[in-house]
Amino acid sequence: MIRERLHAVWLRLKVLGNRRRLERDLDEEVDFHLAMRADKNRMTGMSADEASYCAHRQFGNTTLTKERATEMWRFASLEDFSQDLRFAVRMFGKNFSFTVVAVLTLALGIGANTAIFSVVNSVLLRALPYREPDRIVVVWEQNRRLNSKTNTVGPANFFVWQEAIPSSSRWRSCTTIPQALPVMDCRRKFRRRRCPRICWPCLAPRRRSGAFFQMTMPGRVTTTWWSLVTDCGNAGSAATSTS
Amino acid sequence: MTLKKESEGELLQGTLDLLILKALTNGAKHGYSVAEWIHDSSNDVLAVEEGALYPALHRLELRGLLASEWGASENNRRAKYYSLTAAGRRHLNAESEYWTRMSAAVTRVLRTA
Repeated sequence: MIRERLHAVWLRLKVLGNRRRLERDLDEEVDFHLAMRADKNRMTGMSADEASYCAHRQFGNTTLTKERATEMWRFASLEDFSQDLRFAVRMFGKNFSFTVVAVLTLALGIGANTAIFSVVNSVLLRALPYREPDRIVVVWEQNRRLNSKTNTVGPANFFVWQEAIPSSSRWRSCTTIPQALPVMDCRRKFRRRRCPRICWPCLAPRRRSGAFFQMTMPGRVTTTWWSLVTDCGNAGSAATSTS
Repeated sequence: MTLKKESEGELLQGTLDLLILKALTNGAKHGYSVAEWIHDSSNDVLAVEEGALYPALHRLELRGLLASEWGASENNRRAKYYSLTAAGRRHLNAESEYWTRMSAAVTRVLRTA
């Protein structure tokens, strides 16, 4: 089958630059057939005109036959595409203002589309850069008096929850509000949208750009894993847990 | 080819190819001669639709089953002669065997009481 196709491609390539000759040959081939048929008809006693007319009628639509035969020798889709392309270029050259508007519209459309998709991809589609992002849970306190549903967890509550829910073995606390928490591991003052170092074993961030997180570092954030810290802060969490 | 039912289109195309290949087993022929040979060999039962003959010849040539060259006809006109290639001969043998088996099977079915 592959050999047949290669053979067909080779033959089509041979006639690619010589389409007129192919058409001429086909004309001659069909004319020969009609002449032979007319000769045979004449031998049965028909007049020359009648014999020729009958030969044409027996043959059918000669134009259609030639078209169907010629069509086989074309790289149909490729040649149609090339023809469309040439036509489009000619039309664009003819209407320059239309071309400019069309190109600008397309450019703006593609640019806007790309920008929107980049945002949607980052915010909605792409998973968080942690080992099991679907198991990360953010827990808040509610303040009914102030009708606030995303209150930072009080340190005492945090430790109670940590003990009360043993399946969530890796509880860590962090804050999005600049404040000092008077609790042992949370005593550091955090800037907005940062996550404390103690969150790391909970979130297990993936390695990025060659930076590798080391838990053996002393108690301060280093520039090596700063970008990872920023990702963690996106959760804006009061407490994170992986169960 | 003229058969009674138009719904047999696929069969007709396959059959036409087979008959064209068979017509060329005894040497090169031009299109008109192929049509005449099929008509005569079938005792005037089968008549090739001449409009379908040339696309079929070109299709078989593109598939490498036929080769063609221009020559002088019996009445000294310039004509395109088609001949079987080795691949065409192999294809003919395979298709003939298949056709014989199928037609025998259909005949057996039709003769079953």
